[in-house]
This record gives sequence, C-alpha cells and structure tokens, in this order.
Amino acid sequence: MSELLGVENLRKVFPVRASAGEPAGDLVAVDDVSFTLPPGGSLAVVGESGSGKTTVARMVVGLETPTAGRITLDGESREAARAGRGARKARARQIQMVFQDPYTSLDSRQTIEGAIEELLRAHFDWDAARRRERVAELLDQVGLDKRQGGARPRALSGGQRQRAAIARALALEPRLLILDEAVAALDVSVQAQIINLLTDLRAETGVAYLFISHDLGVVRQISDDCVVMHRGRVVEAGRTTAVLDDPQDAYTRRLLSAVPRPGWVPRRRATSGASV
Amino acid sequence: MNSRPNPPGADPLVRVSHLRLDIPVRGEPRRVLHDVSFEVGAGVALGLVGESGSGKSMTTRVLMRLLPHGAATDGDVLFDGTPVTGMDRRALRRYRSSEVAMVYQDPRAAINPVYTVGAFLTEALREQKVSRKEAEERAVALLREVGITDAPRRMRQYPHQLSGGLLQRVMIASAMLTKPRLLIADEPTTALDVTTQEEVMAILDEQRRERGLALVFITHDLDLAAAVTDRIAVMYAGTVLETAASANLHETALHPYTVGLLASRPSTVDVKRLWAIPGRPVSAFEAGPGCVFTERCPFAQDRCRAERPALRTVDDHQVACHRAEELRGRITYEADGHADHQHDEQTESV
Repeated sequence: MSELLGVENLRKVFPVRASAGEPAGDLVAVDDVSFTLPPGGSLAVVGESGSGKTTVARMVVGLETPTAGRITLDGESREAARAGRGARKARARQIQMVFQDPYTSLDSRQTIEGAIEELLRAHFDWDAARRRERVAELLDQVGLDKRQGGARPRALSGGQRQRAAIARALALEPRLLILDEAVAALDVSVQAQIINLLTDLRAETGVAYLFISHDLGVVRQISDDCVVMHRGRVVEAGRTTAVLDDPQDAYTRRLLSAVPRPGWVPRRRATSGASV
Repeated sequence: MNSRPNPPGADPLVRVSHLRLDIPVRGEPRRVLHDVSFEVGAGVALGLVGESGSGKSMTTRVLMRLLPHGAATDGDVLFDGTPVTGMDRRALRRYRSSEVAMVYQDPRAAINPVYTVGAFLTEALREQKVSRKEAEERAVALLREVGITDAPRRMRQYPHQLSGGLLQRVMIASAMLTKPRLLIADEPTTALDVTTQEEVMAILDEQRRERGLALVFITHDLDLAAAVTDRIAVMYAGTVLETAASANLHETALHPYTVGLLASRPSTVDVKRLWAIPGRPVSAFEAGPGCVFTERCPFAQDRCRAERPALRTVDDHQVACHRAEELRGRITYEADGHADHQHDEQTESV
C-alpha cells in the first residue's frame, strides 16, 4: 500500500511542574503511537479528553516536537522542525489544519476573501486576477457566496465560519488535512452539512484526512480507518466499520456502549472515587 | 426510564402555557420566546431539546425567574398551581432556595474556586442554622450517594483538584441538599466525555427516581434526551414545535424539524449520506409571521409562511405544523444523490 503519512513509535512527554501537593514529574501524553495513511485516505484518531489524540495531530502538523519516534510524509522524514522559511512553506503546502473553533482560528479583522488571498500571495507568484479567481473557486467549493466571502468572521454563523476555515485550509491544495474536532462545536443540523461537505471535498480533490474526534458517529461517517487512543496509547486500530461493528478492546467497547441511542440506559460502572 | 404519570385529575407540578418573553436589547424589546407550552409532573423527566438559540435555556430562566431587568413575559408559568411570575420577594426566595434546584453545563463556572468542596456543600445548610457537624455528615452522605467513594477527602479538596465528571457529581449533590421538588439540568453532561456522561446521567436518573423529582433536562442531543426522559419538547426559534413520549419519538416524530434533526445525526452503526436541514438555525426575533421553521422546511407552503401554527394534538403528540396529518409517516430523508445535491445547493447560504 502506498503511504502518504507514516507515524512510527511516536512519543511525547511533557514536563509537569510541582503544584498544589502534586510533585513535579513527566506526563506521557503520547506513548508509542504508530499508523499510516494512504494518499486520499481518511484516518480517524478517536479518544476522550486526555487520550493524546490532539497532541498526535499537533506533532504531525509541526506545532509540537516529538520526544521520540518518526513522522514521514511521502517517505521523507519530517523531523527538521526548525527548518528555514522555505522548508516551512513547503510543509504548509503539504499539510493544513482545521481547528474546532473557527472563531478563534480566523483573524477577526480580516475578511474571508482577504484571509485566503493572503495565503495565496505568500505561496504563489500569481497576479491579482488569478488569485481572485482561485478565491472565488474555493468559496464556491465550500458553499459560501460572494457576500459571505467579503464578510468578517463575526458576521458569519458557526457553520459558515467552519466553511471559511476549510476553504482557507484547502487553498494551497494540501495533500493532507488535519481536522481537529472540526465539527464538534456545530449544531446537529449544521454539523450534517459540514460532514457532507467534507465527504464531497475528499472525493473531488483527493485530499487525505487525519480526523481527530471523540464522536464515534461522526468518525463512522468520515473515516475509512481508525485508531482508538486511551491514555496516550493505541488500544485498537483497523477499518472503521470493523472496529465499530466488532470492537475487540474493552475500552473501545466501553466507548461505544456509552453513546446514547434509542433504548439506551445509562449505567454506573465502577465507583469513580479514585479517578481524579 | 419508567414514566410515572400524575394521578388522574392532579395538576402537574410545573405547567408552562403559551409563554412569551421579550428582553430589551439596546432599549428595544426583542422577542426571545414566541410560544412555549409544556407540563412536568412529579417524578417525570421532560427533555427540552433544541439547537443553539432555540430558547431552551431562556425557558428555564423564566422558570427560575432569573430574568434581566425590563424583561416582559406573557402566558402562564405555574409551580404547584402558583404563578412563578407573581411571587413576592419572600415567596420567590423560598421557591428558589428549597423548591427548585439547578445543575449547569460547566460546573467550574458555578462553584467558587477559593472554597473547598465541603465549604461549598455546607454553606446553604449552615445558613439554615444546621450545626456544622450535621451539615458535614449530610454532605458526606450525599457525596456517597452520587458515587464519590472517598467523600471525606473530597470535602477538603478544592474544585481545581477534581475532574469535570467528579465536580458535576458534587453539583448534583449540592442540588439535592435542600430536597427540591424540581430539578433543572441545563446541558449537565455536554462538557464531559461520553463515558463520564454515562456515569453522570445514571446518577442524575437514580436521584430523580429515588426522590420522585420532576426533572427538566435541557440538551441539544436528541438521542440522549430520548434515552433518559419520559417526554420530549423540541424547541426551535423560541417555540415548542413538538412534544411526544420519548420512547417512540424516533419512529413517530411528526414535525419536519424533529424528523430532520433525527436524520441529521451521524450514526455509529451505518454510513449514509446525512440529510442536512438546509440553512442555519434562526433566532426567535428573526422569524416571520408564519411558522418559525418555514425558511428551512422543505414542505413549507403559502399557509405556513403566512400563519403561525399553534401547538395541537395529533395522535399522542402535540405538534405545531399545519401539515402534520398530511405528512404523517411520509417525511423520509433517505439519501438520494440527486435530491441531496439540491439540498446542498440550498445550504450554500449556511
């Protein structure tokens, strides 16, 4: 199988300062995580808070430096985190990221068109007409009209802002899009629109997704493969349909059984006095 | 959950009928609730379900009478037969302190970070002249009831030393301290992980049954509401569009909005193209003279745009839709490539 992204034995340790009776020490956020993602594929990293899923995403995009392990893109190592300007720009053309809250990830003083254009100006030697054309094409691709393109983030709804963030992330035609809880903050009816949009965009552009989520329903819709993380480690991995239909690991089963559905009765498991 | 209907003829503990609410925004009254009606009996759980801006939290603010200055209400809000809107200062104080309790979404925003859990839990009882020893014993007993095993140690800890799930249990315990008859839980598990949500919901459910509490449970999650309540009221743009028994809502939903909400939730068991309700949720004040859902409704007709439908009984539901009978059982949102494409075009304005 050809491979776009490879992650091998990834590990991240954060030093923790002493506070309120807790001694200083090391927090192992990610421990021995490995997976691969083919070109145009969609891999979900599933887990609850503290599972390390977001730290994995931040290391892949280069916002965090791994303590150990290897990240490769097209077989080439990506460790050169302190690379020069040229290397960083080349990396940006390969990998882009969409965050949970587009309100904090878009510049409030910039129009949507302005935000996308800036990116094109920084990366390509295009004239204004060509940039305008590409901006219009991107807005159309994510379902925003001309007026919305000229608006500032504040004037848009949550769904529109997330569309804008996706358009900006796609502007450089990256090979890999990292979506960190990208639909988690949206209302259900709008969430459905964005999920459908993401499904279409992958089919149209061939971009690969690394989809970070806690929501098993969303994961089922969006990913081909998934990795279930618990306390920094991978507890189960495989085709998404197989993992969700026939989970092998106890934690995956526990996660699935906690999803509300018709006929579901919430149950107390263990007394959780010990878990802080 | 078992439904425990009121004895025949008895008044429900809470009755809200045709509630309307205006709140001043820059000096101008702005409509926040158009028409909200529901009932909750003792021991019964009602789910108020809706997307952001639908008015579910504002409805509970009216129930608690926690409204900004200059707010104007119309319609009835009765607690045990007494209008909440007409209570004098003393009655209101008694009502808020001992009849009704509230659990919020973010426990960290609702608890004072500089006091210990123990100080927080015993404060209300100490005010009522309960001795320190007895107040502490009662607090510890309650913490044990909500599944906190090492309660005495927790009493000495500060909020930042507890996880979100544990802290939400502390909030539930604190809500139970004064033995209320009505519990309002506003998205109590939305900030929690699913496995923690399950634990907290189980505890909330247990407390409600054991104490015969009336519960108003606010959530955006229709599946969660359906699983843990007896009845569901679906809200949109400050209006209750449908109320029905939770157990069979998934099969019997009548309002196009309810059916659409059910169809847009991604399932963990199969993959299909989601039916996305076109457009974005509107606020109450943006609604025209007709049905508040008209703009996004694929079934809207001229009448829907001109005349606002009232909540009326169809089958065993209450539904505010002119076309409820006509559309019954015929609203299907099965994915069909072509129709979906049309929906997508409509959704461009989202």
